Amino acid sequence: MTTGIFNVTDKVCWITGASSGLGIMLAEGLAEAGARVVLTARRVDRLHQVAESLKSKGYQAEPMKCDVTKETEVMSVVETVTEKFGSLDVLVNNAGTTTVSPTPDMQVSEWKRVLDTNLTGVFLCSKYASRRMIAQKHGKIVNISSVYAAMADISFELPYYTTKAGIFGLTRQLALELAPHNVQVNSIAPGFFPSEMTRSVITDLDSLSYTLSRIPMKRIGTTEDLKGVIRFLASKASDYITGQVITVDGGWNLW
Amino acid sequence: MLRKALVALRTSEDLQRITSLLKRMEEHPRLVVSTLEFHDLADSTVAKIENIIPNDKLIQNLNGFEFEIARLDYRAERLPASTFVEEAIKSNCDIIIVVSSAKSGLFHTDLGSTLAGNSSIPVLVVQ
Repeated sequence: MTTGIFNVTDKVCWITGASSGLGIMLAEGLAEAGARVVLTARRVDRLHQVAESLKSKGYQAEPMKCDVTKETEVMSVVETVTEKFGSLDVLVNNAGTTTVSPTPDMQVSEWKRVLDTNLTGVFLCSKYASRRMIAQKHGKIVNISSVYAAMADISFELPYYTTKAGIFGLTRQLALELAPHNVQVNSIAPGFFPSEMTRSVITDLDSLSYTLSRIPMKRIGTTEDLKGVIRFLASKASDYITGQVITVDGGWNLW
Repeated sequence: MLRKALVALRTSEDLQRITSLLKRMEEHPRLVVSTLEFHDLADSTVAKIENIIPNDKLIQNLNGFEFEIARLDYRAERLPASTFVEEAIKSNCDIIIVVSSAKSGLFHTDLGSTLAGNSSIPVLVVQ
């Protein structure tokens, strides 16, 4: 548990896309510092598994089903959290997806599916969470972008790169709108971390060699590497910071 | 004449290509068939990482060669190439053999080229 300006004890933190990958790392980073984490995702079985795993370590975790592209489900989470806990202190917009295809062959439906989750989902969760945060006169929104927001690379994932860059713009504009209400909006741009999305790259030694060759620290991110930054952005320590992006990538974006 | 060679295995299909080439070259070194075994990258709920497990089919490709299997602990804290090079030196191999990815999109930074760039002992990259 952390004390002082980095304290997040009993803060109510909603993490979307918490059934796998970075969502689990971020949830654990907050929960082990004493936060009450509300975990949402579409896959209920996996979500309960993650919540039980956190509870077994003595942490506070509440799983709720939510597809971030469905407005009614997003509204329902905010209502339930507010009724149950009395406040919503932190929203972590982590839910994300991708599709792999050369652009000339990409289906419009795939393009829309990625935009719906990665951008519209962030908009919907921020819209309803910010209503509550404005009413309670404080709040933190953390949008998970990617190192790929600011650079191109070899994989055929145009909608993913596009949406992650879009999160930068969304973060800055929302930060400006919510600043007078004492709600800070920031973004984390992770580099290469183990997740379901990156699993195929890790197990392909050629792709992994390529990826590590581009990371000056010559290692992928670990489960510990995101914990510090999420606690910072969720705590009082970041109260005078808004509209900013913190890149956590072992130096990848320096090239 | 090659005495002992470390095979840096990317996929089980590599082995047939390597042994076939060695036979054509009339070289029969003892092979240290090496795979990386991923450890502690993440909890299995975060990302389930599956390792290449040497099996009977893989071993069939080694007919006519003396060999040993080496499963090298790896935590993605360094280039895969560095782990293979370290093992090759430790095992007193006089060469490392690897199959090229033939993926032009990787800008010459696949396993084969990073081995060639980082190894202090000779590397044979099979195209």
